[in-house]
This record gives sequence, structure tokens and C-alpha cells, in this order.
Amino acid sequence: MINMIPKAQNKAEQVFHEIVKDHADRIYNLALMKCNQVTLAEDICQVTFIRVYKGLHNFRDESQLGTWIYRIALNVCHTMIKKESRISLNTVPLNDRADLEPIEEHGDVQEIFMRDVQKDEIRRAISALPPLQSDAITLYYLKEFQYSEVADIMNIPLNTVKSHIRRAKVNLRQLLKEVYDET
Amino acid sequence: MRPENSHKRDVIDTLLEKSWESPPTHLEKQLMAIPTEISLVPSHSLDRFSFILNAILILWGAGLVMFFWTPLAQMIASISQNMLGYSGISPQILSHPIVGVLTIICLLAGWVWMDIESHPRATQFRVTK
Repeated sequence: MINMIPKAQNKAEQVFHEIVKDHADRIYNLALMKCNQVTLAEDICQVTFIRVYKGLHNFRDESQLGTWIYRIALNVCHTMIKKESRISLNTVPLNDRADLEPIEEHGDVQEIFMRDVQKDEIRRAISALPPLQSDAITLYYLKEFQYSEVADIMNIPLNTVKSHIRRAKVNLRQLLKEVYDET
Repeated sequence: MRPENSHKRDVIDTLLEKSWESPPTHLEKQLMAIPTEISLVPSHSLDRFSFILNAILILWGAGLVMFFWTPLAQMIASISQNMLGYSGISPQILSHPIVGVLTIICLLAGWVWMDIESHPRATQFRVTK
């Protein structure tokens, strides 16, 4: 039976591992930005990569790989967030983050806590944006994409992407005024 | 890739960068394990044994439908007669607007589903699990 497993599968596994190494962090952060829930972000990440692995065998245009992966990630985000109905601003994500390992072991506890609160505020603000604005700003923020690539992923015109990002920033300025003042 | 200096950095960029979170260490291990969790085997044409079994199954199914056709047809006819005003086995049913709308919805839904994520039209591999 083992002999029947094609070489293509081993190759697909190698490619898949490279994709995980290259994109897992960004997909996780994309999901976290969208839902502001660590466990849900992990689930979104897993479902996204399962779909990527299943679809990898039929994927031909390698130049579009990144776009394809993030399009899947966005679709999964939308579906799972809607399903879980966890996008509410009333959620308390800090309780959900007990499994996170500390980034700096020697850091000041209060400083780390404040930074976590700030991050939480930022993500809450992003998840409070209209879906298209939040998608656009999150993808753009991930620093992997140009406006045109964001447009490709979201399947909307370039100028619309620019407009969504501009509006998202204006909204974020208002929503994050307190955090902004603290920095 | 977007060049770092392609846009003016402002306070929002700085704040957004601050929100970057390192994924939990167990996540990458879980993701790496996906290929072992999902086994893919190549699709192959039906062998003779499967072909015979499938043929028997189809014949048996067809026999059942033929045997029970009269009561089944009556049931379909009476249900559609009550709901749509036409007998379900009459040719007029095809011209009923509800049937037309349902067909168009099914076609559109199928087309959208195929389009989402560039879903492949022909699969080379069959997912067994």
C-alpha cells in the first residue's frame, strides 16, 4: 500500500511544509485581526491549510499561489466568524489568551500586560470595521501585498481597495484615539 | 512583495505593527501534521470487481424504482398537484415558474461554488479522509 502512494504526494507534502513555514504566521495574524479570538484564529488557520493542502494538487499557476492562499484564508475567516458569531465587540479575548506563551521572559509584567491590552484594543477596532475595510487594511498591513494584490485577493477594483484602506485608517484613527494618545 | 518604503508610515501603521502576534508554538506542529492526517490516494478507473458490483447495485436500484414506480409516481403527482397545480410527472411541470426559478438558483449556486477558490473542475486526487 505504501508503494502505491505516489511520489507526487511526497512532493506535495514538501511544498505544503514550505507554504506553512512561509504563510502560517501571516494567516494566523490575519485570522486574529479578523476575529480577535486566539482559539478561533487557530481553527481558521487549520481549516485554511487543510483546504490549501486538498487543493494544492490541482493548483497550477504558482505565481498566484499567495493570492490563492489568502483568498482561501479570507473565505474561511468570513465563514467561521459568521458561524461562531464571535465578532462582537463585547467579547473578552484576554481570557482566551491564557495559552499564549510570554514573548519576553524578562520583560516588565505591567509593560507586557499594557502591550497586550493595546494589541487587544487594536484588534477590536479592526474587527469593528466594516468587513471590506477590515479585510483590506489587514491584508495590506500584513506587508506582503501591494494594492493590486489586495484587489486580486478580494476580487474588487484597485481604486476600491485604496478607498477602503483610506477609510479604514480614518475609522481606526477615531476608534484608536485613546490608544493613540497613550503611545 | 510590497517595498517597505512604498507608503508613508503613520501612527496607524505603527499601531498595527504593534498588534503582530507570534502564533503559539504548537500551531505550526499541528499544521505540519496536516498531510499525515489527510491521506490522498490517486484516483483510478474502476476495476472489474467494482464495475460488476456497481452494475448490480444500479440494476437493483433501477428494479426497485420500476417495481414501486406506480405508487411512487402517484405520490409525486399528488404532492406536486397540491403544491404547484400540475402533476409532477406531466411535461407541463417543466414550464412552471417555480421549477424554473429553482433550476436557475441551483445553476447559479453551483457556478458560484465552482468559482470560489478556483475549485478544480477535474480532480486528480481523491481525498479518502
